[in-house]
Amino acid sequence: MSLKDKIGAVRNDFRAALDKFPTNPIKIDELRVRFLGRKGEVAQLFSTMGSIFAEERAEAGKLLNELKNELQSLFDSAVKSVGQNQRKKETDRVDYTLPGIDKPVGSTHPIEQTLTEVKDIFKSIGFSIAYGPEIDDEYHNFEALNIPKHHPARDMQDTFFVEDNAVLRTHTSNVQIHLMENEEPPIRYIVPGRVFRNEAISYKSFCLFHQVEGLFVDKNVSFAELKGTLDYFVRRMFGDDVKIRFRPSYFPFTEPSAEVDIWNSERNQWMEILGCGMVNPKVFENIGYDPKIWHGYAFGMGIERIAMLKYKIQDIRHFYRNDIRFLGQF
Amino acid sequence: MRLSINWLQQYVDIKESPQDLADMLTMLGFEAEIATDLSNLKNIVTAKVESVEKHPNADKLTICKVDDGKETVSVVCGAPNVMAGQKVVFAKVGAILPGDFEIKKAKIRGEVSYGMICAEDELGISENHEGIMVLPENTKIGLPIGDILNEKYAALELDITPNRPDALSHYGIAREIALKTNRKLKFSKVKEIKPVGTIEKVTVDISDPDGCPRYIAGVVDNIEIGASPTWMKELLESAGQRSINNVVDISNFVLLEMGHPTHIFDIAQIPTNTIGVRQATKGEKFVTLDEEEHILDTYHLLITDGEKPIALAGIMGGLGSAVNENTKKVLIESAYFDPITIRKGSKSLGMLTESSRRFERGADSEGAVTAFWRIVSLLKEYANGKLVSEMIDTYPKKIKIPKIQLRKSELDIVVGCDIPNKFIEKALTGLNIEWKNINDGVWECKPPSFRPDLEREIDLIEEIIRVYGYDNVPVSSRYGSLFNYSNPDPKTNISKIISTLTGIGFHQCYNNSLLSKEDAKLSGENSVKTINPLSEKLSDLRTSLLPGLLTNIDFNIKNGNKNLQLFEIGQIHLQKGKGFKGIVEKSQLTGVVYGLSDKASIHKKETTEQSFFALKGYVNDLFESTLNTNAEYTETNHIEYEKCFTIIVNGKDIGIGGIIDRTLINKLNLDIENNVFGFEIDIDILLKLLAEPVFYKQILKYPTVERDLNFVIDESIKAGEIVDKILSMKISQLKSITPTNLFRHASLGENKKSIVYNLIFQDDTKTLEDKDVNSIIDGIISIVKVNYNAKLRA
Repeated sequence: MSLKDKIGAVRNDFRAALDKFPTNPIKIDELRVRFLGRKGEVAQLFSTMGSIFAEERAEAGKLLNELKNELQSLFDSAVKSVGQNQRKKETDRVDYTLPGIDKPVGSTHPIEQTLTEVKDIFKSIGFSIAYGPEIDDEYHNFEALNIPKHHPARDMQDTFFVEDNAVLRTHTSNVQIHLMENEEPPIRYIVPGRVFRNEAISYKSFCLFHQVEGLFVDKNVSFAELKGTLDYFVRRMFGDDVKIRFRPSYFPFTEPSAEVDIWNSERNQWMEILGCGMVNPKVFENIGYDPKIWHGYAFGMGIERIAMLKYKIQDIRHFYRNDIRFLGQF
Repeated sequence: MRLSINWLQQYVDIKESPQDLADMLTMLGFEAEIATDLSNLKNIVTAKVESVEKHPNADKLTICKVDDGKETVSVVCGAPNVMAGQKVVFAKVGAILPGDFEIKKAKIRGEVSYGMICAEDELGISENHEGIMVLPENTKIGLPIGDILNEKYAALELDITPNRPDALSHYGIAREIALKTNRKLKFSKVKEIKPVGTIEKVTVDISDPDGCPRYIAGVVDNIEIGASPTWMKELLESAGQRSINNVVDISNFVLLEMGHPTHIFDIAQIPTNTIGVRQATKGEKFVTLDEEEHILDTYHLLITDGEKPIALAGIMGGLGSAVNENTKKVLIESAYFDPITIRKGSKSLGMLTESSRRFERGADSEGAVTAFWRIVSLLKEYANGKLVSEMIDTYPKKIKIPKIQLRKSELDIVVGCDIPNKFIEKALTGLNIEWKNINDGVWECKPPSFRPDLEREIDLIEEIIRVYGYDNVPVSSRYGSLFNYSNPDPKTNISKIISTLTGIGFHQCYNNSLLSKEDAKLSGENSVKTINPLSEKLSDLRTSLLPGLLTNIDFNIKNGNKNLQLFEIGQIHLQKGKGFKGIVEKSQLTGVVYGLSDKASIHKKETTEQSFFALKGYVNDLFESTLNTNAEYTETNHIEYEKCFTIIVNGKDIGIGGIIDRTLINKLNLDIENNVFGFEIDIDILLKLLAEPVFYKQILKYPTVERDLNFVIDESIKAGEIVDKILSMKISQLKSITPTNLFRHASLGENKKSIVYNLIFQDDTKTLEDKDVNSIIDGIISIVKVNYNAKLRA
């Protein structure tokens, strides 16, 4: 048999084997060894090269290399297709109804989320953010804000006292005073923070809550601008359709003072959401701003109250229980 | 304050429904809600009790046949005063009483009851629940209850702010409504009365004119104690005040009518017709009308009979001098007491009375005169009283009423729109402010004596805007001018910390700052205590966020969630030195993990528990994500931890972490079985680090070479010591070194372990060859061998 015939025979044998290409990796390797192994059929043909005439040797080498490359490439693609078939089978077997692999998922506290939203709204209209102490002296929490010691207005906020005439701040308004003591007008800040009230704990009141205070001092600041600013805030927070009203009220540190209500169509009633007013000239006098030059407005809101309205939470105590069945909802 | 709409009608026409009236008052600054409105009550009608029989199974119950105009039904009643023939208020089956109480057909001790005969409290008319409400005999039956009772009993509840003492009366509110609606005020002027018979002398001796600037007194004789007239009783009841007798009722009536507190003494206790007003002596005792004994101090003001106290001025009368059924002759007090004096006194004794509430807010110094004559004339008319003295008006310290300049220019700035001069002048007049126009757009104003809150220009500006209507002020969208935005939010990076932690599975918590003294001290720090705590459990401020978070773990375990990763960012307070100045406030981030970090599932058989090293992983993640840096750790001790490390970031001690101490958990009385792992980080330091600028580092393009070194070392040597040693060689090509395998086996020798370190090399300037790495490795091996008596394991 000539070399050509032998090559043809090996090729045919290999093709026949390809038609019944195994899927078992051991059998696949046996096939590889049989044809392409070190002592395989192709290698055996190469070993006969010595017995070939010198002038035919180049031609024979070329043919053998072609055979080797052809078989190798056919073998490789057969192996690949077996692999792909296998993968395809596995893919087809995937039961998409099985559960995903669980990873713990955390959550940001609803008060934090509401606070961030409030901060973002005011930052977008040029307010900076300031912070201040949770324990302060009575001067910064009361007197400088025009709440003298023996004044019935002190009853408006039940206060926790610590020694030395210091209090757990009842509002973030103490920071108004710190800011004005340290900076010259114009100033424009909001002040988020924790405040304390000596009130029995129930579904609607807790011994502490979070407040955001706002203060704007400049020349010619008006009640109309206060209305504009808060109108903008309320619309961003509760939507453009919200119905809002300003009604007269009393806070010692603002005059005129107002409370802002929004209409709750589910409960069919007005809900109070914040207090505000024009900075009382007495406050300016107390910290040394000239009330003939400077005017200002201030406002304050309870974050819990806003979060309760926003998320329809009925009981304020949920915020402090940290039940992950609650926290995980936000 | 409870405002009777019927009473209000005496002084101004009310055309609004109770709800509309409440809205109007709210928009005037007097927050109002409906207290009693019977007009909407359905299925509650007038009815007649046809018969009353004893309940067969209950001594105190009766079975009544009630005719509601349509049918006669059987009703079980518990009231002692029910009698056949009475006209009553009957709630039929299906009626809904105030407070959303629905009347249903009910079986009471075996007898079926088809409805309820109502008492006053059930209708929201008063607190009275002594018996059913009995209507006049001539009442027609079957009428809706609103038709016959609402006119009398409809009432609002007002929340009057402390700056408006003048609004604590029906006449005061009527004045505001008249101003808002342009309606006429109806009030016949109180007339002075001439004394009759022998004129008695009364001596008033005020030794503390600051506490008592004005004291008006007069004596009325021939008093006949009896019942008040029906109209007065009804008005008082509709305002929530029970009728007692004609004399006491008259004083209460004048209080609720015009807001001025008066006091009527039985003169039998003032034998010398002398009234003294003086400060109490320290330790002086006095028993008030409510039979409470008080120990007084010098800041308490007393009314005396010249010597002995007979009343706590402006707060409450004494037990001995009270009007009783034998009273024949009385002394009327109508005074003006100093607000601060009354406030101090009532606060210190914890006695808030209708009288003190008004004096501490500022009474009407002229109203004292009107109130005196009103009392005298009502005593004359309804108690047959005869004035037997002059009105003795002792006024040692005149109450000044300020003159205030109001400028339109200032009003315009504050309000931000143009309010016409005509409106301003009309409003001033309506507010009873005397004014004259002294310049174009400038008025000189004198407020009425009943408005002590009007002292400065801004007070008048507020009043003008209030009358103008807050809703009529335009909404301006000017938000600002030029500013120096040096630091829009110094804490803005907190959001990065929060999103990193929530991203790796932590829930953010908010806990109470207040806890018990014992729990506050568990951190080993001195806590700040409140003087007037809500309870012993909430007396001190937290010195650590751990107690709160551990309590949250306990709570969640009890509610079925045993795998927890929680964190909180909040303030803690430490009492470092004495007093207020010794308080240090810090921002803290604390995290705790408990239970499993990975649960088993259909895809994975094994669970993974939270561990000391899981904790280190979370801490690493936090700093890698927020600062692109690795935290370092050194061992330390802390009272809150059993095994504790200090966390060092960029060379700064930034916090601690470890296994939470068992005793801490036990002392908090928590049911937590397994280890809790926790960390605490100083947020202020972290925020400083986060504020530092971040610069891009070149990404190296040459390939890395990896090598593993397996050392056998003594058990006592910590894996990290060798890491630190190798790092301290400062080999520039060494990019990282990580322990990847720990092996303990007897074959290694006693107290030995083997640790595999994975080292990654990379050169900034060229491709590293094997020979380059080999010489570095040789250097490392010899250093480790020499320093740690280590053997290289093949």
